[in-house]
Amino acid sequence: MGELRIDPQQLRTRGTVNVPDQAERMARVAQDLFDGLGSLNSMSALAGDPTALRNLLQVGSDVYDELRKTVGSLNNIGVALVMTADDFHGTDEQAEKKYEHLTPAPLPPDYRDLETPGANSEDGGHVPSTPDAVDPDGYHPGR
Amino acid sequence: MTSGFDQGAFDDALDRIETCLGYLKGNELAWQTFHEYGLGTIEMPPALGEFSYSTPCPDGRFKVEYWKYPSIDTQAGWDSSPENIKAQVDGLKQAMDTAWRFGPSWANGVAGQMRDVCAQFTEPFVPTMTGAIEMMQARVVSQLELSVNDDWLELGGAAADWDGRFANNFRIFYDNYNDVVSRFGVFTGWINLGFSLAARLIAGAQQGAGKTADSLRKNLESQLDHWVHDGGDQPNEPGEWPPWVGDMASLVGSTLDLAGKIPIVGEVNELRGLYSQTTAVMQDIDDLTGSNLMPDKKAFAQVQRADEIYECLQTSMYDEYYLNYRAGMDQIDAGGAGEGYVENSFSAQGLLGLMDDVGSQFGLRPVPATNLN
Repeated sequence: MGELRIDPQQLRTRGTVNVPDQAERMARVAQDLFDGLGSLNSMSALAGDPTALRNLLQVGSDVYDELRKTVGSLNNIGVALVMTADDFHGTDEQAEKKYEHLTPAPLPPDYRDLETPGANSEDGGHVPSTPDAVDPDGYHPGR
Repeated sequence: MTSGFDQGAFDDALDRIETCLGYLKGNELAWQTFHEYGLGTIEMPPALGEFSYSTPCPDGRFKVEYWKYPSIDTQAGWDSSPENIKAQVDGLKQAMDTAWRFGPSWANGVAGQMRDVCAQFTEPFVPTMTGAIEMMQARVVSQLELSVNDDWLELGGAAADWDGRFANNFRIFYDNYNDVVSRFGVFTGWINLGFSLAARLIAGAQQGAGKTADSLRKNLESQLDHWVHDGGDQPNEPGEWPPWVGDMASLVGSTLDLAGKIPIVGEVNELRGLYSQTTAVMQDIDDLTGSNLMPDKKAFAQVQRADEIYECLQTSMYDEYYLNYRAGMDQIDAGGAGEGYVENSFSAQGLLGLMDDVGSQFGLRPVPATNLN
């Protein structure tokens, strides 16, 4: 067992207050990113899913995935710091019950295939990709 | 923010264009029939009565009245009895009706065709795009930029002493948290910039197509009024309201120039510049939708006949707006180079490439919920 250069009670507070605050904050940011990218994905589908927008959505999807994983890690870190603090206290079972009751930040929804053509909305609707225009040259009205 | 584009008004204008284009073509065909009906002729004697005819146009405003003495074929063997003259006149009227009715069927489908041509830039709702971008600027980019300070948990080096199985994961996570979270903000800022440039193209194409459709509608109505006024003579002067066509290629160029000012490079400290550039583009879109920033084409087409007006409609909607819109999107993807462009200037492809280059370092290594000591 290593040394502890921080008071276990303070460490516990980091795990029960500071880290969850940060996790909540990042979860909100992730949810906002999710919502924003969802709107842009729908508009991109209506715009015919040009490669530029699909590439931007691919980047957005990756940023979102990482941010979401970060929220998950922050939730874990809150628990880990409490466990570490309690480990120094040696109050195993009692402490275990305490960190079991830590409320994790809500993990934002999973994102899949943001960059593929079309867009699926949260309510189950689908926005199809607007097809490319057909060159009307040579077309004569009425024929 | 308001959208300068009204999808309903655009649809109405296209429907009206189709209707009026059909009327105009009908007038031209009826006129042609009137003049071709009795070739090699003398004029019908006035004593037999003035020829009166009106086109079967369902819109009274554009019904063309003919008060003329048509030529009647008087070749050998022609029966000049009143009964025969009446039969000839009735035949001419019937032929003109048939010819006129071909006009609306000739134009049938034009509105739908143009709607399809323009769908990729008229379907997206620009305020939804700009609203999402503004929200992400304020609630994602700004939040991540201002996220945390170093040693935000004030552990004071305590983590260095822990030797649990995942203590190293925690240390890497904690030490890199600030930089990585800021990087998420910068990349989101670039995404916002890219979408704001796309929104600028879409808003421009919408404004252009909307104004062109409106000017063609007015032009057509003006041509039809001329026909009515001239009592069945084909007008020789183009109507008022020469068709307006915007310079979409120029708008694409200026949009790409905006991208040219922003570099995308590895570890950047460009967030503030990136943020303000995106804000400037958004302001630009606001101006674009509210006024006439879309530049005019130098030459207006002088169009008069139905074929010419259809040609003008097709060329402006497909060649000018659609093809340039697509080219603009391709250029946002591939990027550009030119005077005033910074090295590694912004492009969607470049951003994706940069993300690939950063690879596994892009995010943070996961930390499980375990005792770190």
